[in-house]
Order: sequence, then C-alpha cells, then structure tokens
Amino acid sequence: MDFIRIVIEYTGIFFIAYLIGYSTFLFLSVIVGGTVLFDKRKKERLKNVLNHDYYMPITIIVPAYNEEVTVVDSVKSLLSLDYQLYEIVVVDDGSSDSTSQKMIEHFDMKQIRQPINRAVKCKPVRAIYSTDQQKVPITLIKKENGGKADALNMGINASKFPYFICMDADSVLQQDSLKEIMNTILEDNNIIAAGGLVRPSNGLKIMEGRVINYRLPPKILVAMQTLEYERSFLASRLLLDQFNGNLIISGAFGMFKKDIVIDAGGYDHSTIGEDMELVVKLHVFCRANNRPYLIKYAPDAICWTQVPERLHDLTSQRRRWHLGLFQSMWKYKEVFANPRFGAISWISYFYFLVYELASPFIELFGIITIVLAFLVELINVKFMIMFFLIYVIFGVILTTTAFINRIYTQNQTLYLTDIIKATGLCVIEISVLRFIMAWVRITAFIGYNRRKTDWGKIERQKINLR
Amino acid sequence: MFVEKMILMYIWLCFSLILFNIFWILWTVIDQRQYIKRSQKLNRLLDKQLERLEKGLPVTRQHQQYLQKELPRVKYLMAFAELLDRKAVGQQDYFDEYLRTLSPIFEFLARKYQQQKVISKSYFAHVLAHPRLARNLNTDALAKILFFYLQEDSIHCQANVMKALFSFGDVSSVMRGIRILDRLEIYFHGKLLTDGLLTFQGSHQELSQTLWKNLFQFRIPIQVALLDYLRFTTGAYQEELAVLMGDASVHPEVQFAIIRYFTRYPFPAAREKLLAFLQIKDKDRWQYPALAATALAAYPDQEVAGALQKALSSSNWYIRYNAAKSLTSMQMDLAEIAQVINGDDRFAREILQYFMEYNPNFKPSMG
Repeated sequence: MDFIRIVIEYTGIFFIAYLIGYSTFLFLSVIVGGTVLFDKRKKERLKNVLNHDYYMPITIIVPAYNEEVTVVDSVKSLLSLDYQLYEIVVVDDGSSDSTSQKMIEHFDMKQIRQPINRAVKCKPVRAIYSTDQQKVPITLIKKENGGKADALNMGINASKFPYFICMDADSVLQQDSLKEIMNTILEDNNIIAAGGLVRPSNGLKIMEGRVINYRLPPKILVAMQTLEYERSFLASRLLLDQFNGNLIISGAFGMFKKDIVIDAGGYDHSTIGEDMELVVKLHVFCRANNRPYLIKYAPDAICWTQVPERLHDLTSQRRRWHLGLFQSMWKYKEVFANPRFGAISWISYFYFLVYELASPFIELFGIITIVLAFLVELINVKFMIMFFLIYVIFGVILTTTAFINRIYTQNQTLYLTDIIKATGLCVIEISVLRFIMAWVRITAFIGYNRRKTDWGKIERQKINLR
Repeated sequence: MFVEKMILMYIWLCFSLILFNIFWILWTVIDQRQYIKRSQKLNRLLDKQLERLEKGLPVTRQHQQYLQKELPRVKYLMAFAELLDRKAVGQQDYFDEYLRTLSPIFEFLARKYQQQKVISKSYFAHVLAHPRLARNLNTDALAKILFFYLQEDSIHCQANVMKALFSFGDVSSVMRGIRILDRLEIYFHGKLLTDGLLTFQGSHQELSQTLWKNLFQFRIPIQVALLDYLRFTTGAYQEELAVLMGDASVHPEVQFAIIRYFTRYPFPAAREKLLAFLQIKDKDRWQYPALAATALAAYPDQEVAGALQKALSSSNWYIRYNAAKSLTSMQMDLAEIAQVINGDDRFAREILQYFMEYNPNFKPSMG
C-alpha cells in the first residue's frame, strides 16, 4: 500500500510538472502569436512592408496521386497567382485514376523529351508533358509510384528555378501568397525555407484566388479542425518562429531554397512525414556544416487545404502524422538535449517529444493512475473534477483567444456567432475528440511497416472555384 | 495548489487578451469613422486653398499652421497621403503649386518624425516617395534628414527611405544612401537595390556614370546589384568590364555579374574570355562555364558552336543544359547535329534533342 502511495505521489508530481510545461507553452504561444500578428497588421497599415513588383523566379511543385477530382482546379487556381515569374510542375506519382489524362486534356499538353537532372534520388519517369500556352509554363511528369517524398524529389529535379514551393494537389494558394512567402527572402538572405499559413477550405468559395466567405464551417469535425489549425498556425508556430525553432513546414505550403535542399539530400523516401523530416534535416545539416540559416514562418502567405470530413479519414490522417513525427524525431535523435542546437533542442524538440509524440501515452498513463488511485481511495474525486473543469476552461479560453487572433490575419472579419460556436466546439474537442485522437495516436504504430510510405488518401471534394 | 493558481492566472491573462482584442475591434471601427471625417475635413480645407491659388491668392498662413500642427500625427499623415493619391490622379493645375508651398512644412515634419518610432519614420519616408510630392518639395533638405532614418535597424524603413531617394531623382542623394548601406553593412537585398535604381526619377545616364565611377568602393553584394543595374541601362562599359573579366583579384560574384553583362551586350574582347571560361574543368568553379555557355549564345560563329558542342558532354548538368540551349538558339549545322545525335553520349543527345523540339525557332543550316 505504501509503495502504491509513493508511486501515486511521484506520478502526481510528474503530472504537475507536465501540466505546468504544457499550459505555459500554450499560453506563451497564444500571447506571442497575438502580439506578433497585431504588430504585423500595424506595420502593414503604415506601409512597413516590402511591396516589390519583381521577385525571384520560383517553381511550384504539385505532387499528385489519384487526384483526378482536384488537380485541374488546383492548377487553374495557381494560374491566377499574383506573381511575375514562376512555373508549375505537376508530378503524377503513378496514379491509377485519370489524374494525368485530366491535366493533358484540360491544358492541351504535348509530350516532350525533357531530360531530368538527377540531383536527388527518385523513381524513373514514364512520360513528360508540357504546355507554354498558359500564363506560365506547366509541366506534367508521369513517373513510377514511389510515394510523396519521391514525387517531390522528382519535382525538384525537374524544376528550373532556384526556389521551389511544395504544395498538395487538393490545395489552393491565395492570390498573393507567393509574394508574401518570397518577401521573407528579401528581408533576410539567410532564409532557406519558409512555411505559410494553412487553413481548411472545405465548404468555402474561392474567387480569383481569394476566399469570399470565410466562416467557421457547418460540419462539426471540419470546424474543430479549423480551430486546431488556428491554434497551431496563429499561435505555436509564431512562438517557435521567434527563435528559428520551427521543426515543421506543412507539406501543404512551403518554400525552399533548392540548392540547399539538394545538398542536404532532398526528401527522404523512407518516411511518411517527409515535410517534418526535411525541415529537421535542414536544421541538422546547416548546423553541422556551419551554414548560417533561418527557417521562417510567413503568416500572411495563405494556403487553403481540404481537411478530412469523416472521422475515419481524420483518424487515418492523424495516424500517419503521428508515425511521421515518430520517424523524424527518431531519425534526428541527436538533436535531443544537445547544446549545439540551442533552443531548437531545449524547446522545439523537447515540446514535440513530450507534448506531441509521448503525450497520448502520458495521458493514458494518467488515466490508469487515476483509476488506480480511485481504487485504493487515494483520490479526491471532487478536487479531480474541479481540476478537470479548470483545465477545460483553460483550453476553451486558449482556443478562443487563438481564434480571435484571426482578426489580425489578412482581411479577416470576425463574427459573433463564430466565436460562440468556437467556444462550444472547444468543449467537445477537449472532452471528446482529444481522447479519440489520443487513442488513434497510441495505436498508430500497429501496421507501421505496411503504412510506412503510402500516400494515405482522404476523400476529396471538388474545389469551389469561381 | 500551485499549478491550479498558475492556470487560473493564465486564464485571466488570456481573458485580458480577448478583452484587448474586442477593444481593438471596436477601436478599429471608431478609428475608421474618425479617419473618414478627418479625410473629408482635410479635403475641404485643401479644396479651399486650391480655389485661392486659382484666384491668384497664396495658401493661407492658417492652413499651413494647421498642417504643421496636425501632420506630425501619423493618423493625419495617412489621411493626407490618401488625399495626395486622389488629387494626383485628377487634373489639378494648382495642386503642384500647392505642394510647393508645403516644402518647409515637410522639412519640419521630417525632423518631427525623426523623433518618433521607427514604424512612423518609415511611413513618413513612404509618403515622401510619392512622385507628385517628390517633384515639388525641396528634396535636398529632406534627403539630409532621411539619411538618419536610413540608419534605423528596420528593413522596411531602409526600403522606404531608398524608395524616397530614388523618387527624388537626385544622383548625389542616391549615392550617399548607397554609401550608408555599404558603410553600416546593412543587408539590403540586391534585387531591391537593382530594381529600385531602375525606378530612379532623374537622369539614368548621370546615375550610371556616377555608379560606375564609384562601383569598386562598395562591398561585393552592392557591386553585384549595381552591375545588374548597369546591365539593364547601358552598354557603355564593355571595354572596361572586358578587362576585369578573368582578373583573379575580382570576386567571383562580380565576375558572374560581368558575364551576365556580356550576355546582353556582346563584345569581341569578351568572346575569347568567355570561351576560356567554358573550358574550365575545375568542379568547384562550375558556375564560370555554366554562365559562359549561356552568354556565348550572343556570339554565334563556328568556333563558339564547336566549343558549345564539346560542352554538351560536360559532367555538369547546368553546363550541358546551357550549352544545348545556346546551340539551338544559333543556326547549327545539320552535320554537327547528326554528329551529336548519332554519337555515344546519351546525355548530350537527349539534351540537344529536347532543345531542338522545345525551341520553335530552331532551324538547322545546311552546312
């Protein structure tokens, strides 16, 4: 009995430390995020922005696998971008549907014999098509199936320009997003990569590269993901950005300097989370080679992406994300508690390790301890319920704060009904969805080998372009 | 319990932030209304002064005092700038005359904004860059104050100040601005500098001559940006640059800028050096042959075609690619094409075939 008491006591101390760390990180994220965005809007109002007409040429790489529903609309939206010099490279990773056919027919593409520079490893080409009849050149590369990382590597090899954008075939870039993301380069020459703000696009209407009705979506699952995205992109990424500590640039929208990505070896085929793997790799590579570098986050560069609408799709997506996180963390374990990496090690890596990767296990351990403590009558039920309620209120307030921070993002109007809805959804998220997701992440490792490099599809909706 | 108290404190602080945000939303609405009122008032006052000028009467002292009192406040300056945009489009004959009378006020404002936050300073510089304003104010006096703004640690302020200096159209002010950027080792992206210089409102001939005279006093990134500007504006320095090309004491980045210059302005003396660059086999210096391969497209003759044909077999992708592109832009001999197409080098064959198909203007000559 004494032993159990001691175990529970120490477990309690551990959880107090865990909660202090977690709540402090979230709190700082929201406060710093709000401050940074507020400052940005103030600067924009007083024309403290680099509004330049001519930017560096850039290649947009669109990896596609069975994207017949969205690929044409996605490329059409890319043609309306407000940018002078860019090319679009669509890489069809051996789709079994008519992804390539749709592209070829819609854009009247012709087969060419373009040689590809094999700078980074990728599977062989089957055929290349191109067209010069649109606003910018479009190239379609049909290749053997090799996974998303492999398709991106092919895109890098085929790109003609010194910077490239990676994005998803179901995503839409906001009209000024390329300008906004390339502004980072004008501000600092050491920037080797930058990520944009990713927002769910389900149910939204997009006209000339701009969303015209940005409200909280009616579907509960989508709306909850919207809140989650806001919390991440309007809070924690901005905090990590303050010390060059972002370990992820979303695969939905990121900009990279090509030569350094090639030097670092390109995307890794063996991981699911190729977006995170590349960013951590760049941190490690630059520090190992004493190259000055910065990886930035550009909250005004906006990308609209489709999020899962069904719980089944969401759980499979999150399983993949968790596996990807594990693979990247494991591969670069040298970053852990390594003074050479400074704040990246002590804050970013530590946060991802404890509060993202291990958190479902820690939470499960917490529940087991509570049950055990309850059985041996070592728990104050009243206090436990009160503590849980405080935690729920904290979560609700934090998410609502992050949600309201959206007023500081580009042309964003806030609706009272959305705030009320967001507050209600937070309660459901914290008390229901969170536990489902914890379970999904705990079981993510089942079937690990089978899922290691697949594309992980979700059901696609047609993009609502006007 | 400590953790409980801490979370409650966090809740309270987050709640304060929410309140702040709500307050900010309300304030924005009120501020917008005030802004419209301010704008309308300023518009009325300005129209009255324009009427006076039309009647041959001067701008009133009272109006000048009003502007001197209000424009140091950034909100008023914003309203004024908006008005400036609107009036500049219309056919306002007396508007230029009106702006000229504001010259001493703007000098006063420049000193006032010098004491303000960098974000306001930067905005003031942005307003000064307005071409209509720049044309009518005493820009010499303003530039002297702007040089202090340039020393602020803000890329936006520096960019706005440089924009204003380019708009003033005075060569010596631009030169002094660049010197400050150089001396303080301020990072100013080459593209911002090159493209900014291209918007210069004065004589480009005078500017390019002055830049050329002082070119090699600056740090390398600035030299490169200035050479890029010269490439877009004048071919007058072929002889001098041909001498520098290949000079081991000249930084590689500057050499690359010079090669690009000779891509635009072909010069016989440069041709030999470009051919020599194309022969470089050192893998660490691959940029020289790669750039030379592109530049040589502007020098079409048998010898160049032969050298480019050899470069098709280079182990470096970029050299091969650029050589093929240049070759297909020339009138290439059918026999030479056949030699490559039927040769053993698969890479050379593929890249040449690609450019032959890709370039719609490609027509081989018959020996």
